[in-house]
Amino acid sequence: METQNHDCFANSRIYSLRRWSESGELLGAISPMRSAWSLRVVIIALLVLIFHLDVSPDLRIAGIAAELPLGLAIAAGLTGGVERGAYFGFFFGFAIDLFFFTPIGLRALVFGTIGWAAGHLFLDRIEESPVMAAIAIGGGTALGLVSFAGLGIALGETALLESPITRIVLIASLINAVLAVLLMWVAHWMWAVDPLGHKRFDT
Amino acid sequence: MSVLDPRRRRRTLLILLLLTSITLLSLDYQGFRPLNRVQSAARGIVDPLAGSSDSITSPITNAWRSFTEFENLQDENSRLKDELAELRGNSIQASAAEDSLRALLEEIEIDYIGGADTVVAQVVDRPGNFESYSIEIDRGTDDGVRRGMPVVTSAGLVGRVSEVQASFSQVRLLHQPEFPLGIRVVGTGEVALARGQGIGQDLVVKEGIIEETIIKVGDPVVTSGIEGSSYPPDLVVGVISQVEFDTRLLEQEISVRPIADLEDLRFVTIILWTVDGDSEP
Repeated sequence: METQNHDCFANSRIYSLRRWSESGELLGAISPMRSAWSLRVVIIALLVLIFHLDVSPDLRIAGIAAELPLGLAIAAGLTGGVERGAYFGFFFGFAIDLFFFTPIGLRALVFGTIGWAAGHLFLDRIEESPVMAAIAIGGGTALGLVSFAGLGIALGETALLESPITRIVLIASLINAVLAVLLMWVAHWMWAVDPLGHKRFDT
Repeated sequence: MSVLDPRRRRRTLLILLLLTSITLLSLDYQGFRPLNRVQSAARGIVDPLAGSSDSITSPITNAWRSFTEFENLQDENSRLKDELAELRGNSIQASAAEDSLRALLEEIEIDYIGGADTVVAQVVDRPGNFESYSIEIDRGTDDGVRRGMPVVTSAGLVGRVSEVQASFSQVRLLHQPEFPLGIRVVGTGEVALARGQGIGQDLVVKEGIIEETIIKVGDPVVTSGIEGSSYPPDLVVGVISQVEFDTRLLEQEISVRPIADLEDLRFVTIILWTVDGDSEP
Protein backbone atom coordinates (compact mmCIF):
# COMPACT_ATOMS: atom_id res chain seq x y z
CA MET A 1 0.00 0.00 0.00
CA GLU A 2 2.77 2.33 1.00
CA THR A 3 4.64 1.57 -2.22
CA GLN A 4 1.53 2.07 -4.34
CA ASN A 5 0.93 5.43 -2.72
CA HIS A 6 4.49 6.41 -3.24
CA ASP A 7 4.38 5.47 -6.90
CA CYS A 8 1.17 7.32 -7.39
CA PHE A 9 2.68 10.34 -5.72
CA ALA A 10 5.87 10.22 -7.75
CA ASN A 11 3.91 10.23 -10.98
CA SER A 12 1.65 13.11 -10.10
CA ARG A 13 1.99 16.80 -10.78
CA ILE A 14 2.13 17.20 -7.03
CA TYR A 15 5.62 15.76 -7.07
CA SER A 16 6.95 18.78 -8.85
CA LEU A 17 5.31 21.05 -6.27
CA ARG A 18 7.11 19.19 -3.53
CA ARG A 19 10.42 19.61 -5.29
CA TRP A 20 9.85 23.35 -5.63
CA SER A 21 8.96 23.55 -2.00
CA GLU A 22 12.08 21.72 -0.92
CA SER A 23 14.23 24.04 -2.97
CA GLY A 24 12.52 27.06 -1.42
CA GLU A 25 10.88 28.14 -4.66
CA LEU A 26 7.31 27.11 -3.96
CA LEU A 27 5.98 30.60 -3.42
CA GLY A 28 7.99 32.14 -6.22
CA ALA A 29 7.12 29.63 -8.87
CA ILE A 30 4.70 30.66 -11.58
CA SER A 31 2.54 27.88 -12.91
CA PRO A 32 -1.04 27.18 -13.86
CA MET A 33 -1.27 25.06 -10.71
CA ARG A 34 -0.38 28.00 -8.53
CA SER A 35 -2.84 30.36 -10.16
CA ALA A 36 -5.54 27.70 -9.73
CA TRP A 37 -5.10 27.43 -5.98
CA SER A 38 -4.55 31.16 -5.56
CA LEU A 39 -7.98 31.83 -7.02
CA ARG A 40 -9.54 29.13 -4.87
CA VAL A 41 -7.92 30.57 -1.74
CA VAL A 42 -9.38 34.00 -2.48
CA ILE A 43 -12.85 32.56 -3.15
CA ILE A 44 -12.89 30.43 0.01
CA ALA A 45 -11.47 33.20 2.18
CA LEU A 46 -14.07 35.66 0.93
CA LEU A 47 -16.97 33.24 1.40
CA VAL A 48 -15.89 32.26 4.92
CA LEU A 49 -15.31 35.91 5.81
CA ILE A 50 -18.82 36.90 4.66
CA PHE A 51 -20.29 33.90 6.47
CA HIS A 52 -18.42 34.86 9.64
CA LEU A 53 -19.53 38.50 9.49
CA ASP A 54 -23.08 38.13 8.32
CA VAL A 55 -24.47 34.65 8.92
CA SER A 56 -22.57 33.10 11.79
CA PRO A 57 -23.76 35.67 14.38
CA ASP A 58 -27.35 34.53 13.69
CA LEU A 59 -26.55 30.82 14.00
CA ARG A 60 -25.59 30.69 17.64
CA ILE A 61 -25.55 27.70 19.93
CA ALA A 62 -26.05 28.66 23.58
CA GLY A 63 -25.24 32.21 22.59
CA ILE A 64 -21.93 31.34 20.95
CA ALA A 65 -21.27 31.66 17.21
CA ALA A 66 -18.94 29.38 15.28
CA GLU A 67 -15.33 30.48 14.79
CA LEU A 68 -14.97 29.04 11.31
CA PRO A 69 -12.07 31.27 10.17
CA LEU A 70 -9.85 29.84 12.89
CA GLY A 71 -10.97 26.31 12.01
CA LEU A 72 -10.18 26.95 8.36
CA ALA A 73 -6.72 28.32 9.20
CA ILE A 74 -6.00 25.10 11.09
CA ALA A 75 -7.37 22.94 8.27
CA ALA A 76 -5.24 24.93 5.82
CA GLY A 77 -2.14 24.02 7.82
CA LEU A 78 -3.16 20.40 8.21
CA THR A 79 -3.72 19.96 4.48
CA GLY A 80 -1.21 22.43 3.07
CA GLY A 81 1.77 22.17 5.39
CA VAL A 82 3.71 24.66 7.48
CA GLU A 83 4.24 27.44 4.96
CA ARG A 84 0.79 27.48 3.49
CA GLY A 85 -0.81 27.18 6.92
CA ALA A 86 1.24 30.08 8.25
CA TYR A 87 0.70 32.37 5.27
CA PHE A 88 -3.00 31.58 4.98
CA GLY A 89 -3.54 32.00 8.73
CA PHE A 90 -1.68 35.30 8.80
CA PHE A 91 -3.38 36.94 5.84
CA PHE A 92 -6.83 35.57 6.67
CA GLY A 93 -6.46 36.69 10.29
CA PHE A 94 -5.37 40.12 9.08
CA ALA A 95 -8.42 40.33 6.79
CA ILE A 96 -10.76 39.52 9.70
CA ASP A 97 -8.96 42.01 11.95
CA LEU A 98 -10.08 44.75 9.56
CA PHE A 99 -13.71 44.15 10.49
CA PHE A 100 -13.53 44.09 14.28
CA PHE A 101 -12.49 46.46 17.05
CA THR A 102 -9.74 44.28 18.41
CA PRO A 103 -6.26 45.53 17.44
CA ILE A 104 -5.28 44.97 13.82
CA GLY A 105 -2.63 42.27 13.80
CA LEU A 106 -3.95 40.29 16.77
CA ARG A 107 -5.84 37.68 14.75
CA ALA A 108 -3.07 37.73 12.14
CA LEU A 109 -0.62 36.79 14.88
CA VAL A 110 -2.79 34.06 16.38
CA PHE A 111 -4.08 32.56 13.13
CA GLY A 112 -0.62 32.66 11.52
CA THR A 113 0.99 30.89 14.47
CA ILE A 114 -1.81 28.33 14.73
CA GLY A 115 -1.63 27.68 10.96
CA TRP A 116 2.12 27.27 11.25
CA ALA A 117 1.76 24.86 14.17
CA ALA A 118 -0.99 22.91 12.39
CA GLY A 119 1.35 22.49 9.43
CA HIS A 120 3.61 20.41 11.64
CA LEU A 121 0.74 17.92 12.04
CA PHE A 122 0.69 17.55 8.27
CA LEU A 123 0.40 13.82 8.44
CA ASP A 124 -1.58 11.33 6.41
CA ARG A 125 -3.16 9.82 9.46
CA ILE A 126 -4.92 13.06 10.37
CA GLU A 127 -6.41 13.34 6.92
CA GLU A 128 -7.44 9.71 6.87
CA SER A 129 -9.15 9.80 10.24
CA PRO A 130 -12.11 12.11 10.78
CA VAL A 131 -11.66 11.64 14.52
CA MET A 132 -8.03 12.80 14.38
CA ALA A 133 -9.01 15.76 12.21
CA ALA A 134 -11.77 16.68 14.69
CA ILE A 135 -9.34 16.48 17.61
CA ALA A 136 -6.72 18.55 15.79
CA ILE A 137 -9.16 21.24 14.66
CA GLY A 138 -11.14 21.32 17.93
CA GLY A 139 -7.97 21.45 20.03
CA GLY A 140 -6.38 24.02 17.75
CA THR A 141 -9.49 26.21 17.95
CA ALA A 142 -9.43 26.07 21.75
CA LEU A 143 -5.73 26.96 21.79
CA GLY A 144 -6.25 29.76 19.28
CA LEU A 145 -9.17 31.32 21.17
CA VAL A 146 -7.36 31.16 24.51
CA SER A 147 -4.29 32.75 22.89
CA PHE A 148 -6.44 35.42 21.26
CA ALA A 149 -8.18 36.32 24.52
CA GLY A 150 -4.95 36.18 26.53
CA LEU A 151 -2.98 38.35 24.13
CA GLY A 152 -5.90 40.76 23.76
CA ILE A 153 -6.18 41.21 27.51
CA ALA A 154 -2.41 41.64 27.77
CA LEU A 155 -2.67 44.40 25.14
CA GLY A 156 -5.27 46.22 27.21
CA GLU A 157 -8.47 44.99 25.58
CA THR A 158 -10.24 44.67 28.92
CA ALA A 159 -13.64 44.11 27.27
CA LEU A 160 -12.44 40.56 26.58
CA LEU A 161 -12.44 39.98 30.34
CA GLU A 162 -16.19 40.57 30.37
CA SER A 163 -16.72 37.85 27.76
CA PRO A 164 -17.70 34.31 28.78
CA ILE A 165 -14.30 33.00 27.65
CA THR A 166 -14.69 29.44 28.94
CA ARG A 167 -18.07 29.03 27.26
CA ILE A 168 -16.79 30.56 24.01
CA VAL A 169 -13.76 28.25 23.94
CA LEU A 170 -15.74 25.10 24.73
CA ILE A 171 -18.64 25.64 22.35
CA ALA A 172 -16.68 27.15 19.45
CA SER A 173 -14.11 24.33 19.67
CA LEU A 174 -16.88 21.74 19.69
CA ILE A 175 -18.56 23.32 16.66
CA ASN A 176 -15.28 23.36 14.73
CA ALA A 177 -14.53 19.77 15.75
CA VAL A 178 -17.94 18.67 14.43
CA LEU A 179 -17.29 20.57 11.21
CA ALA A 180 -13.72 19.25 10.89
CA VAL A 181 -14.43 16.92 7.97
CA LEU A 182 -16.10 19.75 6.05
CA LEU A 183 -13.25 22.14 6.84
CA MET A 184 -10.66 19.59 5.71
CA TRP A 185 -12.58 19.00 2.50
CA VAL A 186 -12.78 22.74 1.82
CA ALA A 187 -9.06 23.14 2.55
CA HIS A 188 -8.21 20.32 0.16
CA TRP A 189 -10.28 21.92 -2.55
CA MET A 190 -8.70 25.28 -1.76
CA TRP A 191 -5.16 23.96 -2.24
CA ALA A 192 -6.26 22.04 -5.32
CA VAL A 193 -4.77 18.80 -4.04
CA ASP A 194 -6.08 15.26 -3.72
CA PRO A 195 -7.29 14.31 -0.27
CA LEU A 196 -6.19 11.21 1.57
CA GLY A 197 -3.03 9.30 1.41
CA HIS A 198 -0.78 11.50 -0.66
CA LYS A 199 2.20 13.30 0.69
CA ARG A 200 2.27 16.44 -1.35
CA PHE A 201 4.56 19.29 -0.56
CA ASP A 202 6.37 20.93 2.29
CA THR A 203 6.07 18.00 4.68
CA MET B 1 18.68 30.95 -5.29
CA SER B 2 20.02 29.71 -2.03
CA VAL B 3 18.40 26.63 -0.57
CA LEU B 4 17.68 26.86 3.13
CA ASP B 5 17.27 23.86 5.36
CA PRO B 6 13.46 23.28 5.62
CA ARG B 7 13.51 23.41 9.42
CA ARG B 8 15.44 26.63 9.41
CA ARG B 9 13.15 28.09 6.79
CA ARG B 10 10.07 27.29 8.89
CA ARG B 11 11.59 28.89 11.95
CA THR B 12 12.50 31.96 9.90
CA LEU B 13 8.96 32.09 8.56
CA LEU B 14 7.49 32.00 12.06
CA ILE B 15 9.80 34.75 13.28
CA LEU B 16 8.93 36.82 10.21
CA LEU B 17 5.20 36.42 10.83
CA LEU B 18 5.55 37.29 14.50
CA LEU B 19 7.55 40.41 13.72
CA THR B 20 5.09 41.48 11.02
CA SER B 21 2.16 40.98 13.40
CA ILE B 22 3.85 42.97 16.13
CA THR B 23 4.59 45.74 13.63
CA LEU B 24 0.93 45.78 12.56
CA LEU B 25 -0.22 45.95 16.17
CA SER B 26 2.19 48.78 16.85
CA LEU B 27 1.08 50.72 13.76
CA ASP B 28 -2.57 50.21 14.69
CA TYR B 29 -2.03 51.56 18.20
CA GLN B 30 -0.33 54.62 16.71
CA GLY B 31 -3.27 55.23 14.37
CA PHE B 32 -1.24 54.65 11.21
CA ARG B 33 -3.36 56.23 8.44
CA PRO B 34 -2.49 53.85 5.55
CA LEU B 35 -3.70 50.96 7.70
CA ASN B 36 -7.01 52.77 8.14
CA ARG B 37 -7.23 53.21 4.39
CA VAL B 38 -6.70 49.48 3.89
CA GLN B 39 -9.47 48.89 6.44
CA SER B 40 -11.82 51.25 4.59
CA ALA B 41 -11.03 49.64 1.25
CA ALA B 42 -11.59 46.11 2.56
CA ARG B 43 -14.91 47.08 4.09
CA GLY B 44 -15.89 48.85 0.90
CA ILE B 45 -15.49 45.56 -0.95
CA VAL B 46 -16.87 43.09 1.59
CA ASP B 47 -19.72 45.02 3.25
CA PRO B 48 -21.89 45.26 0.09
CA LEU B 49 -21.34 41.54 -0.54
CA ALA B 50 -22.23 40.71 3.05
CA GLY B 51 -25.31 42.93 2.84
CA SER B 52 -26.54 41.37 -0.38
CA SER B 53 -26.11 37.87 1.03
CA ASP B 54 -28.87 38.60 3.57
CA SER B 55 -31.65 37.70 1.15
CA ILE B 56 -30.05 34.30 0.56
CA THR B 57 -29.15 33.49 4.12
CA SER B 58 -32.04 35.01 6.04
CA PRO B 59 -34.42 32.03 5.54
CA ILE B 60 -31.75 29.75 7.01
CA THR B 61 -30.89 32.03 9.91
CA ASN B 62 -34.57 32.70 10.66
CA ALA B 63 -35.32 28.97 10.69
CA TRP B 64 -32.36 28.34 12.98
CA ARG B 65 -33.36 31.10 15.38
CA SER B 66 -36.96 29.94 15.58
CA PHE B 67 -35.67 26.42 16.29
CA THR B 68 -33.07 27.33 18.90
CA GLU B 69 -34.81 30.25 20.54
CA PHE B 70 -38.35 28.87 20.77
CA GLU B 71 -38.21 28.31 24.52
CA ASN B 72 -36.50 31.62 25.07
CA LEU B 73 -39.21 33.35 23.05
CA GLN B 74 -41.90 31.72 25.19
CA ASP B 75 -40.12 32.85 28.35
CA GLU B 76 -39.59 36.30 26.93
CA ASN B 77 -43.26 36.50 25.95
CA SER B 78 -44.33 35.68 29.52
CA ARG B 79 -41.85 38.15 30.92
CA LEU B 80 -43.01 40.89 28.58
CA LYS B 81 -46.63 40.27 29.58
CA ASP B 82 -45.67 40.68 33.22
CA GLU B 83 -43.68 43.81 32.46
CA LEU B 84 -46.56 45.26 30.46
CA ALA B 85 -48.92 44.75 33.38
CA GLU B 86 -46.43 46.35 35.72
CA LEU B 87 -45.86 49.26 33.35
CA ARG B 88 -49.60 49.87 33.06
CA GLY B 89 -49.79 49.99 36.81
CA ASN B 90 -46.94 52.45 36.99
CA SER B 91 -47.92 54.60 34.04
CA ILE B 92 -49.41 57.38 36.13
CA GLN B 93 -46.40 57.45 38.39
CA ALA B 94 -44.00 57.39 35.41
CA SER B 95 -45.86 60.17 33.71
CA ALA B 96 -45.61 62.29 36.80
CA ALA B 97 -41.88 61.59 37.07
CA GLU B 98 -41.36 62.51 33.42
CA ASP B 99 -43.23 65.75 33.91
CA SER B 100 -41.07 66.51 36.92
CA LEU B 101 -37.88 65.83 34.97
CA ARG B 102 -39.02 67.96 32.04
CA ALA B 103 -40.01 70.77 34.37
CA LEU B 104 -36.67 70.54 36.12
CA LEU B 105 -34.75 70.65 32.84
CA GLU B 106 -36.80 73.62 31.67
CA GLU B 107 -36.23 75.31 34.96
CA ILE B 108 -32.47 75.31 34.48
CA GLU B 109 -32.87 76.16 30.78
CA ILE B 110 -31.56 72.91 29.37
CA ASP B 111 -32.02 72.76 25.61
CA TYR B 112 -31.36 69.14 24.68
CA ILE B 113 -28.67 68.94 21.97
CA GLY B 114 -28.69 72.72 21.95
CA GLY B 115 -29.80 73.11 18.34
CA ALA B 116 -26.47 71.79 17.00
CA ASP B 117 -26.43 69.99 13.64
CA THR B 118 -26.84 66.26 13.95
CA VAL B 119 -26.42 63.15 11.83
CA VAL B 120 -28.45 60.00 12.38
CA ALA B 121 -26.48 56.77 12.00
CA GLN B 122 -27.31 53.11 12.01
CA VAL B 123 -25.39 50.82 14.30
CA VAL B 124 -23.64 48.14 12.28
CA ASP B 125 -24.65 44.84 13.78
CA ARG B 126 -21.45 42.83 13.83
CA PRO B 127 -21.50 40.87 17.04
CA GLY B 128 -18.60 38.53 17.61
CA ASN B 129 -18.32 36.13 20.51
CA PHE B 130 -16.20 38.54 22.50
CA GLU B 131 -17.56 41.65 24.20
CA SER B 132 -16.58 45.16 23.15
CA TYR B 133 -16.91 48.60 24.69
CA SER B 134 -17.41 50.10 21.26
CA ILE B 135 -19.97 50.04 18.49
CA GLU B 136 -19.58 50.74 14.81
CA ILE B 137 -21.84 53.19 12.98
CA ASP B 138 -22.35 53.69 9.26
CA ARG B 139 -21.35 57.37 9.14
CA GLY B 140 -17.89 58.82 8.76
CA THR B 141 -15.94 61.85 7.59
CA ASP B 142 -18.00 61.93 4.38
CA ASP B 143 -20.99 62.82 6.57
CA GLY B 144 -19.16 65.42 8.64
CA VAL B 145 -18.36 63.12 11.54
CA ARG B 146 -15.15 63.88 13.41
CA ARG B 147 -13.32 62.23 16.24
CA GLY B 148 -14.55 63.32 19.67
CA MET B 149 -18.14 64.13 18.67
CA PRO B 150 -20.76 63.11 21.23
CA VAL B 151 -23.23 60.40 20.31
CA VAL B 152 -26.73 60.26 21.76
CA THR B 153 -30.06 58.51 21.41
CA SER B 154 -33.43 60.07 22.09
CA ALA B 155 -32.91 58.90 25.68
CA GLY B 156 -29.51 60.42 26.31
CA LEU B 157 -25.75 60.29 25.87
CA VAL B 158 -24.27 56.93 24.80
CA GLY B 159 -20.62 57.78 24.10
CA ARG B 160 -18.17 59.52 21.87
CA VAL B 161 -16.71 58.99 18.39
CA SER B 162 -13.29 57.45 18.97
CA GLU B 163 -12.18 56.50 15.44
CA VAL B 164 -13.48 57.79 12.16
CA GLN B 165 -13.05 56.66 8.57
CA ALA B 166 -14.66 57.88 5.35
CA SER B 167 -17.87 55.88 5.62
CA PHE B 168 -17.93 54.44 9.13
CA SER B 169 -16.91 55.31 12.65
CA GLN B 170 -16.27 53.70 15.97
CA VAL B 171 -18.08 54.95 19.05
CA ARG B 172 -16.70 54.34 22.53
CA LEU B 173 -19.56 53.74 24.95
CA LEU B 174 -20.00 55.29 28.38
CA HIS B 175 -19.64 52.03 30.25
CA GLN B 176 -16.00 51.51 29.21
CA PRO B 177 -13.95 51.32 32.40
CA GLU B 178 -12.30 54.61 33.27
CA PHE B 179 -14.25 56.39 30.50
CA PRO B 180 -14.14 59.96 31.89
CA LEU B 181 -17.28 62.04 31.78
CA GLY B 182 -17.84 65.43 33.39
CA ILE B 183 -21.32 65.46 34.88
CA ARG B 184 -23.60 67.84 36.70
CA VAL B 185 -26.35 66.77 39.07
CA VAL B 186 -29.46 68.70 38.11
CA GLY B 187 -30.94 70.58 41.01
CA THR B 188 -27.79 70.77 43.12
CA GLY B 189 -25.58 72.02 40.29
CA GLU B 190 -22.80 69.83 41.69
CA VAL B 191 -20.12 69.09 39.08
CA ALA B 192 -17.97 65.94 39.20
CA LEU B 193 -16.10 63.41 37.11
CA ALA B 194 -17.89 60.09 36.52
CA ARG B 195 -16.17 57.00 35.19
CA GLY B 196 -17.43 53.87 33.47
CA GLN B 197 -17.26 50.54 35.31
CA GLY B 198 -17.92 47.96 32.60
CA ILE B 199 -20.79 46.50 30.60
CA GLY B 200 -24.12 46.73 32.41
CA GLN B 201 -22.59 48.69 35.30
CA ASP B 202 -23.47 52.19 36.44
CA LEU B 203 -21.02 55.08 36.13
CA VAL B 204 -19.39 55.98 39.42
CA VAL B 205 -18.28 59.29 40.91
CA LYS B 206 -15.75 58.57 43.63
CA GLU B 207 -14.63 62.04 44.59
CA GLY B 208 -15.61 65.64 44.40
CA ILE B 209 -19.05 65.44 46.03
CA ILE B 210 -18.74 66.84 49.54
CA GLU B 211 -20.71 65.61 52.52
CA GLU B 212 -23.00 68.64 52.75
CA THR B 213 -24.35 68.31 49.19
CA ILE B 214 -27.84 66.87 49.19
CA ILE B 215 -28.14 64.32 46.40
CA LYS B 216 -31.03 61.90 46.16
CA VAL B 217 -31.54 58.69 44.25
CA GLY B 218 -33.46 59.56 41.10
CA ASP B 219 -31.89 63.00 40.58
CA PRO B 220 -31.21 63.57 36.87
CA VAL B 221 -27.61 63.93 35.68
CA VAL B 222 -26.42 65.85 32.62
CA THR B 223 -23.04 66.62 31.07
CA SER B 224 -21.25 69.43 32.88
CA GLY B 225 -19.93 71.22 29.81
CA ILE B 226 -17.31 72.98 31.88
CA GLU B 227 -14.40 74.54 30.01
CA GLY B 228 -12.26 71.93 28.31
CA SER B 229 -14.94 69.27 28.57
CA SER B 230 -15.26 66.79 25.73
CA TYR B 231 -19.03 67.25 25.62
CA PRO B 232 -21.41 70.14 25.18
CA PRO B 233 -23.28 71.07 28.32
CA ASP B 234 -26.60 69.60 29.43
CA LEU B 235 -26.78 66.38 27.47
CA VAL B 236 -28.88 63.95 29.51
CA VAL B 237 -26.70 61.17 30.94
CA GLY B 238 -28.88 59.33 33.43
CA VAL B 239 -30.17 59.34 36.95
CA ILE B 240 -28.57 58.86 40.34
CA SER B 241 -28.99 55.20 41.28
CA GLN B 242 -27.05 55.06 44.54
CA VAL B 243 -25.56 57.46 47.05
CA GLU B 244 -23.01 56.30 49.61
CA PHE B 245 -20.87 58.17 52.09
CA ASP B 246 -17.15 57.50 52.25
CA THR B 247 -16.26 57.92 55.90
CA ARG B 248 -12.55 57.94 55.14
CA LEU B 249 -12.58 60.74 52.55
CA LEU B 250 -15.67 62.43 54.03
CA GLU B 251 -17.13 62.54 50.54
CA GLN B 252 -20.12 61.02 48.84
CA GLU B 253 -19.72 58.27 46.28
CA ILE B 254 -22.56 58.28 43.78
CA SER B 255 -23.61 55.91 41.01
CA VAL B 256 -25.23 57.12 37.82
CA ARG B 257 -27.39 54.79 35.74
CA PRO B 258 -27.26 55.79 32.06
CA ILE B 259 -30.73 56.36 30.63
CA ALA B 260 -29.81 55.13 27.14
CA ASP B 261 -29.78 51.34 26.74
CA LEU B 262 -26.13 50.85 25.80
CA GLU B 263 -26.52 47.15 25.10
CA ASP B 264 -29.27 47.39 22.50
CA LEU B 265 -28.47 50.29 20.21
CA ARG B 266 -29.90 50.34 16.68
CA PHE B 267 -29.82 54.00 15.67
CA VAL B 268 -27.86 56.82 17.23
CA THR B 269 -27.48 60.54 16.63
CA ILE B 270 -24.09 62.17 16.29
CA ILE B 271 -23.97 65.77 17.44
CA LEU B 272 -21.67 67.65 15.07
CA TRP B 273 -19.90 69.37 17.93
CA THR B 274 -16.21 69.28 18.65
CA VAL B 275 -13.88 70.66 21.23
CA ASP B 276 -11.26 72.97 19.75
CA GLY B 277 -8.24 71.02 18.68
CA ASP B 278 -10.10 67.74 18.71
CA SER B 279 -11.83 67.94 15.37
CA GLU B 280 -9.32 66.16 13.17
CA PRO B 281 -10.74 63.02 11.63
